[in-house]
Amino acid sequence: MNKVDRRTFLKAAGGVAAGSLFFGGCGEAPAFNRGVKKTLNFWAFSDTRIIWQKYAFELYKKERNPDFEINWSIFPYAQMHDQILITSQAGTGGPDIADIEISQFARFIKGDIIFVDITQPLQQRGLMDKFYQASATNPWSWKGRVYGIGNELNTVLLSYRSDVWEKAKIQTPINTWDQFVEEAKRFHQDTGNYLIDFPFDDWASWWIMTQQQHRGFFNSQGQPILNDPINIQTLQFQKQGIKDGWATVRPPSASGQSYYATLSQGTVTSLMGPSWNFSGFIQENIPQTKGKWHLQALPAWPTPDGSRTATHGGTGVAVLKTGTNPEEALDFVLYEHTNVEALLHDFSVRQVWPTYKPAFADPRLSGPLDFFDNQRVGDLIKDLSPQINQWYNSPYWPETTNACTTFAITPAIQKSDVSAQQALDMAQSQTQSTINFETA
Amino acid sequence: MAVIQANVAARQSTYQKSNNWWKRNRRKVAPYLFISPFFILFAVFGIYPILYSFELSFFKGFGFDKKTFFGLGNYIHMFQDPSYIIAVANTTKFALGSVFILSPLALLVALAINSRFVRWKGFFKTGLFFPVITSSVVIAIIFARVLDTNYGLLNTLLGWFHIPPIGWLTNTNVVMISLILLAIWTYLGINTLFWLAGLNGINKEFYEAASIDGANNWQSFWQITLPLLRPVTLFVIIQALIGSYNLFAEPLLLTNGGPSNASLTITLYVYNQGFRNFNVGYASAIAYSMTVILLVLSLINLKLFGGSNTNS
Amino acid sequence: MADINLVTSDAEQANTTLSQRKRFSPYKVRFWTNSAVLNIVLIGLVLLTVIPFIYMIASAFKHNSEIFGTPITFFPAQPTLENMQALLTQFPFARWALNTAVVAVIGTATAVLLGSLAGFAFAKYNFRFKNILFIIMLTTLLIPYQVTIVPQFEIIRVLHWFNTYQALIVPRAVTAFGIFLMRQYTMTVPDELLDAARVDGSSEFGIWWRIVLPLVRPGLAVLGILSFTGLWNDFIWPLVVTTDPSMFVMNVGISSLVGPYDYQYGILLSGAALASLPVIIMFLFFQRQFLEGLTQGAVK
Repeated sequence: MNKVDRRTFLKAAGGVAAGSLFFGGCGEAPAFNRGVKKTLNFWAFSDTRIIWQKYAFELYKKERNPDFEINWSIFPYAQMHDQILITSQAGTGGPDIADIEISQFARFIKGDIIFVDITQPLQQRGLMDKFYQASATNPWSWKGRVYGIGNELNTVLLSYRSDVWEKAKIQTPINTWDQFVEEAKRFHQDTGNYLIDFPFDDWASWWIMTQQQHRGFFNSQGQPILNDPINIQTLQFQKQGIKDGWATVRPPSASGQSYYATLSQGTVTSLMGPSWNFSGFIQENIPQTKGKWHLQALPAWPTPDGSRTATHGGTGVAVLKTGTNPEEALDFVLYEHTNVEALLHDFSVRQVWPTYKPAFADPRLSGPLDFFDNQRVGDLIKDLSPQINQWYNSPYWPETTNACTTFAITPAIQKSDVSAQQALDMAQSQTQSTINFETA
Repeated sequence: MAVIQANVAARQSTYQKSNNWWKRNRRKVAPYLFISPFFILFAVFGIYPILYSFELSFFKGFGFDKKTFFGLGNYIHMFQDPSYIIAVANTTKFALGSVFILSPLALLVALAINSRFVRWKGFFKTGLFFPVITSSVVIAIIFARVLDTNYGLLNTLLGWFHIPPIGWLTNTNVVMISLILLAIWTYLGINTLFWLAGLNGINKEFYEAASIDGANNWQSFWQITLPLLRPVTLFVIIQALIGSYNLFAEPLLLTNGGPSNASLTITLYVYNQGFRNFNVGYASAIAYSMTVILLVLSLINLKLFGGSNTNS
Repeated sequence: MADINLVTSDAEQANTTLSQRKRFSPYKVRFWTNSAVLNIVLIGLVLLTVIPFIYMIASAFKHNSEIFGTPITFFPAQPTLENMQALLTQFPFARWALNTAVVAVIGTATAVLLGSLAGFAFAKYNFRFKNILFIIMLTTLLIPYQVTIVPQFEIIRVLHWFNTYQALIVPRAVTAFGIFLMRQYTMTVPDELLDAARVDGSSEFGIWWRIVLPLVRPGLAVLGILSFTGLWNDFIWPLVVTTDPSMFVMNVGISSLVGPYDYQYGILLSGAALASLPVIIMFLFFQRQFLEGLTQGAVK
């Protein structure tokens, strides 16, 4: 009797244990394509960005016939980067290849770097000089080594609803911000709508404007300069616009469709950004506005030798050391960034100009674009790209930009009793304190 | 006992010596065997982390490999860190809402269900209970749509009464209130059940005796019901406090702690520091500070509502 | 409260005629008004609780544009299955569901087995470290989980358990609470039964298996339900130890559909609906056990 009971229990326990082991064994990533070669996992956070990369992979398959397939996954922006960071700590898991956004890269250089060093492969293939390094490799470099490569030349332009502006008889092109304010006030008075909006939960708009005036987050030594006088003036400019009524506050980025609704309905009629924004996102979310947009350079500030453009964002591709086949993955990554067909495909979809210099020989890059009412945008890009002011990165980019949003932008834009000076002073001291804490 | 021993002795002769030892001592050894599967795992995953976390709180560095000793540095920084202070303030605001709004409300509902005016007691108990068994992720997802400023269900409803849209999740002054309202929605059911369990435990004779003495409803409520509910009150309040400090999924998924840290809770801050910035030492320090706060609050509650189960 | 009314009203009743009492007695009017008010309020509360769920399920069948369009609709104007289809084809949702089920079932079985075994030991035996261990367990209950989550991550890292079922199940299957619960229930089992079994030659283990377990079945049910619900709805731990989408549990999976760059709310809401369905169905069938289990602490 006793033995039977013990046996029964042991059987049950054994069953449970075996069950766990069995499932544990099953707990590895199954190949999504059964019976086909190997599968490399590609993680991205933007589905518009994968379009050209998938296209590039089709070309790659025809030309090189690799023995792997790629499984493309899209995650939310923050979560994807968080998970890769966790992977770097865990030493396993995670994807083989990933899109790494420019402002997230700094998070991965604090410990052991999880990305494959591609400096040598680039040099060996003689590729280093064939790129606009400022956009292609610098953002993903650390201490002289390159860990990622980007295809986006992100010259910022002002994109506006030409149909609405013409109807309202707005004088284009608008050459200075003073002029802009004039037109904006009139427009709001006449129609109740706005020429522009400013976000409360995002630093992009403010950063673009400060970049024009040779300012931004960091100085050349990588030290935060949030409460520099010009930075403060710029934020105050935005506050004043909202207070005076010629600008409005953008809906929160978490509620994305709200924002695109305001754009398509004509409540807000312009935006500042690079092509992944004025083309990529706009074309994906409100394709019905095709042909109703024009582009122009950003209005100028009174500061001498200010710029009519800036840069914003950018995503590069990195290969993870924890992946299954880093060499093969790298081969594809280098291929897609140097294949003119593929790069031009991204151009046709998102109007992203490539960082690969030889691609510019193609006349398509300066043709008329029907989304922009047949404007020859490429010429504009070519003219303005050299004018992008130098900007400085820092290992503390995430901390500083977060502090800027949390302690400066949000309170300043949302609260009328918080001045830009107070807000940026607070953000500066916060950042300083965080950096001190981390480096102590 | 003697009978048992006689039986044991009788069997001894039929087994070998090792079995003798086993038979003699099995009653002593058995408990150790029974608790060992649990305790081995518990020691590794329960006790060791508690101790290791304490040790970690005195270190700083990125991740687990690059640690340097930092003494009390983490704790000192904590008290000067505005994000920490905001997180504590937010969590406390939330806890106060849970204790002083949610719990009494649940008591009222429990009294209502318990009263003889209401017959479908089971229906109400079940109906209010759904949010408790739903994961906070699902709740956050539903309410992201309900609380959206421009397209949300709630503002649409308010719009019918000509109330302008409220930035439930975007207004720094409102966002914590939204979370409290969400908590009330989620936990009303289970708190009501707690109170009901307590009310059912009160002997009806007390009421009869009081009415014979001429007491009215109000008096009997204050003098009989409430005092006899003290053990349940203690339980409800401590549950509310612990639950408040665990608030994580909703702020993460609805607002990511924003805007501008207005909905940053302590657990979310621990997560940010520990798994986003990998300042594991600092994260441990914050977690331990939370433990201290909870302990103090629990002790205060014990003093106020503790005491025995005997009647007053 | 209710009983008092009855008592005082009887006194009133004595002073009125029969016909008066029967038709418009103040007692009856007050009874029905109070009744109506309370019932209406309670129904209102239940509606408030249930409506968001219905909204979620209804939205799962709406086109994306309808969820954000104006005017806001409650029920879908053009019901569609496209969300569910997308959920199952574009994302490994079926796999997520499987993962959640595996974790919840095996985790519950483990928790119940280990908890009842250890609870039995604490309830019915005296052994040397009993009190110390008990106090240690008691103290661990006071420590919130945020304290342990970071070191547990490190342990998983050392063991190379990332993206495995063990990582999801084991740390969550051993809680002091389970022991306390089972100990309470086991203590009510009469010692005589155990001694009698020993006399009959049963092993200690047999005593547990054949005598104690059947008697503490309510406790097992409560522990089982609490563990299952807790494991099914767990979020922060799976979020931290799984980076491979094929190992996500449903909670983590659907949370990965939320985000500023890629929001497909129809899919999201249908995922949420499917994720919460099993526990809701279980709840409807086992209401009594659920309600009893979750109020255990209040009564102790």
